[in-house]
Amino acid sequence: MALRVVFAAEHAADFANVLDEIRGHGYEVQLIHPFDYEPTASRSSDQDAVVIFIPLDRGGVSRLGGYQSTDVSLPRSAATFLIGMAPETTSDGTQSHQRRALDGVIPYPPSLEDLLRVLSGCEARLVAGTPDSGSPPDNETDHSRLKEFYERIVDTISDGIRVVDGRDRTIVLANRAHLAWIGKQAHEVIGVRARDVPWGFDANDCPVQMTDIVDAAIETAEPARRLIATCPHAGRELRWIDVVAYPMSGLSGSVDHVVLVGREVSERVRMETSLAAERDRRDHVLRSAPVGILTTDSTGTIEFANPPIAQIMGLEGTETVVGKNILVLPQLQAMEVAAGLWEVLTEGKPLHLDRVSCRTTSRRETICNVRAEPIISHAGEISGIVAVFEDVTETVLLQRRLSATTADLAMLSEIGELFQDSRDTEVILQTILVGVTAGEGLGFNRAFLLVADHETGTLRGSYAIGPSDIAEASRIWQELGKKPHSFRDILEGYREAISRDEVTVNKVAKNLVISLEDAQNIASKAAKERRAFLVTDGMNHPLVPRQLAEQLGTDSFVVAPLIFDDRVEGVIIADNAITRKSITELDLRSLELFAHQARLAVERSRLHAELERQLEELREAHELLRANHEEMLRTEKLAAMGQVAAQVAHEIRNPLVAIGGFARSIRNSLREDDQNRKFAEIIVEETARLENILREVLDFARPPHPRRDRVDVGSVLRRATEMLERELQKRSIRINVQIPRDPVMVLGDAGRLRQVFHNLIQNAMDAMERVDTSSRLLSISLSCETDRQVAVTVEDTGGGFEADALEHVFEPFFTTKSHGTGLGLAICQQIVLDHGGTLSITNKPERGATFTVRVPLLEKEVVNGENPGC
Amino acid sequence: MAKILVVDDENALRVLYKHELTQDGHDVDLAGTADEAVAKVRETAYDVVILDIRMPGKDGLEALTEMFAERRNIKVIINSAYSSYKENFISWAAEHYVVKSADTTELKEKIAQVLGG
Repeated sequence: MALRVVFAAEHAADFANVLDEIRGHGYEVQLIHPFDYEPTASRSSDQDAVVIFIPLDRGGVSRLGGYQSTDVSLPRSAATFLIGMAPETTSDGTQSHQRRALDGVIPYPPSLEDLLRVLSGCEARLVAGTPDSGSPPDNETDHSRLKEFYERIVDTISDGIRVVDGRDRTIVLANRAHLAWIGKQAHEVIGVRARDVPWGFDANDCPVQMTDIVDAAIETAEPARRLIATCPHAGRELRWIDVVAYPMSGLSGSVDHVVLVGREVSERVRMETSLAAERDRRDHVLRSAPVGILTTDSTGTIEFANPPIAQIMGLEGTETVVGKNILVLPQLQAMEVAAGLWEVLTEGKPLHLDRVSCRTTSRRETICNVRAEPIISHAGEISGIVAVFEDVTETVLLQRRLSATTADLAMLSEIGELFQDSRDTEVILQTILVGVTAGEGLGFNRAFLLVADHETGTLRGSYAIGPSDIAEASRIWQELGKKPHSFRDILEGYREAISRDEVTVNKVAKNLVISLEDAQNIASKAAKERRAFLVTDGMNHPLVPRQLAEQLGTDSFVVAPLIFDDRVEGVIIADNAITRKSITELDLRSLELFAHQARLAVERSRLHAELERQLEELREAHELLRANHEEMLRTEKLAAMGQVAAQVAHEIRNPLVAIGGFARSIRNSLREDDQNRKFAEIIVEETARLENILREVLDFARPPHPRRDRVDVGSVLRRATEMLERELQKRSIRINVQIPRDPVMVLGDAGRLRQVFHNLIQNAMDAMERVDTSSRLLSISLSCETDRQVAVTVEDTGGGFEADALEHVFEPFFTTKSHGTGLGLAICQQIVLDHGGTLSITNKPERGATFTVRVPLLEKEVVNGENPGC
Repeated sequence: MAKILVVDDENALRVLYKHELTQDGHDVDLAGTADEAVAKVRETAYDVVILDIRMPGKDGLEALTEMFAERRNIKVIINSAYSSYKENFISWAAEHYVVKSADTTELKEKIAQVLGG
């Protein structure tokens, strides 16, 4: 059997020649780094003999793979030899236990002789077939070998083991795991008192002793246990060990040793801790959940119930619930959910119940939504149920209130519309009465209206609504029940009844007269204090006169004031005299609310009307302002233009006069046949035209100081027409003049009026230049439109104005002519306006334009008789 | 034939009027300012004075007042570029008010009226 030689040496190169020599002797040599040494890996099979050389440090301790010296004592096969190589100086210092684990020690670096000696020794032992090849080469006793064997056994146990002598409490044994835990070498603890070798340090850095459980184990001869958080080194992270002290009895039966077995349970403790925290959190959530939660086991017995459950069931606490079966818990039976929950448990069918009435006390009803699910175990079986009770009382009540409010609002909105339509307080009051009695409204049987008469200081019964007796009531209500009525229909139906005096309720109403100042009457009190009252015992009520109760025929009614625009308009008395249905606080509140809404609606509608009126006023004021503003702008524009125009015109006139004058002079001095005479003539004509323009401009610029004479418009118009007669003939314009012979008198300036007519006729003539001579017709007429106003029209057939030109016709400097100042019509308009009249244009496209001057006639008394021309 | 004084600050117009009126057989004197005109009126008894209103320095109206102070019966025809003054001229005690024009027909008519009356 060949020997394999393994060197676990850090500096094998130091003795490489020696290794070569060994190879020369036929050995297979393998080099490994000490840190690569693994006891298990180095373990050989039986067939394979290995001699492993390992280095020992100066302390005689092997340094292999980061393991402590004890590593070398790992079990190995019979054919494996472990030889230490110690530095010369310390080879003798090798620890005995180490030495026991080794098959031999040679000096380091190894000499060839030593190696060959050891190897041959090993070979010899192999050949000898020594049965206990693991036994140390030293001569030890059987006892110590046995001890060593046991020590090796305990060293293989991963739990820390410490054996303490029962008498002197010294440590007699500590296994590898324990030594590792406390960070000590065996020689540091063996024979030392146990209390001097702590198991580490606790959270306060105090050494952890196990004397208590050791004592307990000795005293009771029973195992004692302790779970403790320690750390082998002070100030480090704590680790948990579970230590059990087992008493070991000797032959005498008394405990002579205590075996402490420590197992690290940090992971378990951590898990348990987090599990507990999780459970705590879950319990907290369940307890503080806003819903009631209960769970049962597989038999339906309640295991858990959170405080809201007690609240929902009206119990002091959950103690009376837990432990009870869901089938027998009276509260669940009262809710009628017990059977359902049982089905969840038996059938596995989730339960889903909404708006279960959980409990009803005198004060309120509790309403819940109930949900239940089976709890399915890992095995897929139903292991219980979880039921959730959600208190939805508030929501349900809110919904009920909301839908009631919605209905109220719908009715009020309809009534509001009716109010909007009506400005008449009486109609509004009637509407309110209908609202109070209609089933769609407040649903009172009857309603009486007492109108406040502030002059006489009385509340006077005005009219009422309601059946006279049961028979009539059932007939009416049956009638109403047949088809859905709109509020408007109902109102219309009642209107007629209201006005009938023979109706019983109206008779009752007419008899109700109460002084507003009567402090002893509930009706006047309601009016005075402006609040509603509910009377339930009218016969004995201090503020209900017997007469009132008797008149009404009931002692239970409500009284509410009607206040519009901060004025008490009246009082409503409503009752259920027919059905005798009791009137509740809620009815009172509804009536109050209704009266308030009616008030708002009325005030709103009145306000609306007032606003509309004001708006209309504003609109008119605005229109006036706008007109004034436009007029002002126009005036300013004209004034500014006038100033400029006057300035320019004057500056031009003098030189123009000179030019024109000399041109005439030249013309007159020339013979008829002289060509220059024609040229001079042109200058004369053109300057005349310029002068004309200047005149227009200056006329326009002239400050308005019109004369206020009595003027016959007819003769002025006739004169203006006559002046242009020659020109009309020249232009082949036919003329149709209709002017009354008799005077038509106005107050004004004849010269300026003539200028207007002259201008208009001139314009008409100019306009007709464009059209064929055959269709040129000028129509001039004068007529009295009313006894206050005369109209002069000048109509041409010149084709009319373009639409966009039309709106600028009266603006200064606007012209459609190739020559002209564009001032003509502006001047005309100014003059007519100065006369308190209007100048307007009617345009017939393709045909012509008609200008109409309207000026006020001289008043009759001034004329001393009628205008004869009209 | 009459003795006429034309008062106008515009030289061109003075020349024009002298030419026109001389042709009609009148004896025409000229004045370019109000003061000059008043001085001439003081010296000579004109049959008619043609007077411009707007002149630099003393205007026609002042001249008119001074002329009346000199000669109570003096005949004055206002000849102005300003048509707007025409409405007020009655209070000025002048005979006529003619708006200046290259066509001197109206002016000549008024002169004839004054001389004829």
